[in-house]
This record gives sequence, C-alpha cells and structure tokens, in this order.
Amino acid sequence: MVRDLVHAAMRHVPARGWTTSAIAAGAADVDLPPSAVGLLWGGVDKLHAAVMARLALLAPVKSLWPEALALCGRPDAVGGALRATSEFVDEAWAYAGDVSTDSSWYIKHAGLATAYHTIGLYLLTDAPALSVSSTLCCVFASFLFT
Amino acid sequence: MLRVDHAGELGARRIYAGQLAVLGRHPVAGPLLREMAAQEAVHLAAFDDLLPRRRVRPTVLTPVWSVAGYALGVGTALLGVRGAMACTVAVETVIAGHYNDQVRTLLGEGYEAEAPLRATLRQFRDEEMEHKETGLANEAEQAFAYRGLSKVIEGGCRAAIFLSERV
Repeated sequence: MVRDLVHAAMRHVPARGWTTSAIAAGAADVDLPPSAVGLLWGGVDKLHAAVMARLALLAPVKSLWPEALALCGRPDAVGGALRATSEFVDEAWAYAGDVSTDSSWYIKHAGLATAYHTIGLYLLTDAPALSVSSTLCCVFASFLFT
Repeated sequence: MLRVDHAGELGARRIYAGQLAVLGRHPVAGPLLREMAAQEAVHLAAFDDLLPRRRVRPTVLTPVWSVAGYALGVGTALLGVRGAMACTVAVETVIAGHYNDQVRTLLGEGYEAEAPLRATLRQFRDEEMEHKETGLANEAEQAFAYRGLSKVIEGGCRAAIFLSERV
C-alpha cells in the first residue's frame, strides 16, 4: 500500500514539487484519505528535525568547525569521531521509528551519516538554510522508501 | 547476543524454506516441516521485534545467511526426508546448546532484570529441542552419511554463530 502511495505521489512531484501536497494528491489517486501523508512524512519529519537540531548546535562555533573537522581526521581521534556519528545516526533512526533488521539497516545508517556530513559541510558555506531543508527532505524520503 | 539469535532464526527459517521447496508435497515430511517452519517464524518475529527495541544492529551477514540457509535446506532435502531430518537434528543441537549458554549467562550477576528475555529464550530452547526430537523420531540417524553430514552442519552453525557475534 505504501509503495502504491509512493508511486502515485511521484506522479505529482513535477507539478507540486517535493511537498506534502504531492503526497496528498497521490493519496487521493489511490483512494486514501489525505491523512495518509503521515504514512510517508512522519519519519522524514523526525529525521529532518533530528539532523537540523544537531546542526543547529554547531551554529555558535561555525567559524571554527573546519578546524574541528581537521582534528577529527587525526589517527587518534578518528575512532571517537566515527563513534559520535554512528551514535547520532542510531538515535535519529530510532527516533524516526526505523524497525529494519536486514541489510537495509546498513544502507539507512550509512546513508544518513553521509547526508548529515554533506549537509553539515554545505551549511558551513553560509548557504540559505531553506533550500538545504528541502534537499534534506527528499534525500531522507528516498531512504524511507527503500 | 540478540544479534546472533536473530541471525540464527533467520538461517533456520531459510533452511526450512529450502527444504519445503523440495519436500513440500511429501505426505509426511511436508506438514511436519511446515509446522516447524511456522514455529521458527514466530521466533524470528520475536527477534525482529526485540532488535530495534534494544537498539541492536543486525549482523551484516544477513544476506549471506539467507542464501546459505536456503542452499543447505535444498541440499539436505535432496538427500531425502532422512537427510532433511538429519539437518534439522544437527542445527537444532547447536541452536539449543547456544540458547542454553545464553540462559546461563543471563542467570549470572547483573542480569536480574532480564527475566522476561530469559523466559523467552528458555521457551525457544525447548521448542528447538522438540524439533530435534521430531527429527530423530523421523529416522534422521538413518540418513546417508549421517555422522559426516551432522559434523559438517554443526561446524557450519558454530562458524555462523562466531561470525554473527562479531560482525
């Protein structure tokens, strides 16, 4: 049922963009009530909130973050840095309600770590946060669909 | 601990799937295998539920066990009903022993709060031993090369447990 909803929603994306109205239109196509948006959007919203909250913690030290990242690359610090990322990713997916127990677990965790770091680096360049937000949402949406 | 149990039940379910693919229509073995497979499915569902709740990551080898289990099921079933039963006996021997070890660990210090998990593992262990008895009752020991087959399968299971604990 979720797959059908996803396919129906994708048909409306060219007209409505990566928005909840595309999902609502898709839901109407497959005879689901508009509240079906929650089926797809609930988890994405939570992932989005988790990542943006985590990145917001960086705001006060943004100017010094590149230096921090360089320090993370040192051989003795890499282990701690990797552990910190994996703990964050683990929390984010648990919060978003992930219950996978197969290889998709690894795809989701690796993918979120990559997305989080990429967005983090992008935000360092003072780009407007709004466009990042919507890119983030469609990246996460693709994880939930796998 | 839970990671290995999950991997084990996944493997068991795939073994039965493989065996049913070959022996599904056998008048005696078919229903028997289906019944045991149904119980393993319940076990797997329990671990599928426990893993995310306890934030345990699944073993990275799930696709490997999935394929290997199915191949083992098909291979032993092609040796006939006795072969399939011999496989069941070998696998259940290792799994029941493994659950026993885990229950023993959970009876140790610091695990007082784990009574529900202990009870679950005990129940699963008892059901696995039932499967083993079923296998033995169905002439497993008369299977072609029973001794050799058992040793190989038991060795494979132990290797799978070793790897799933670590990876």
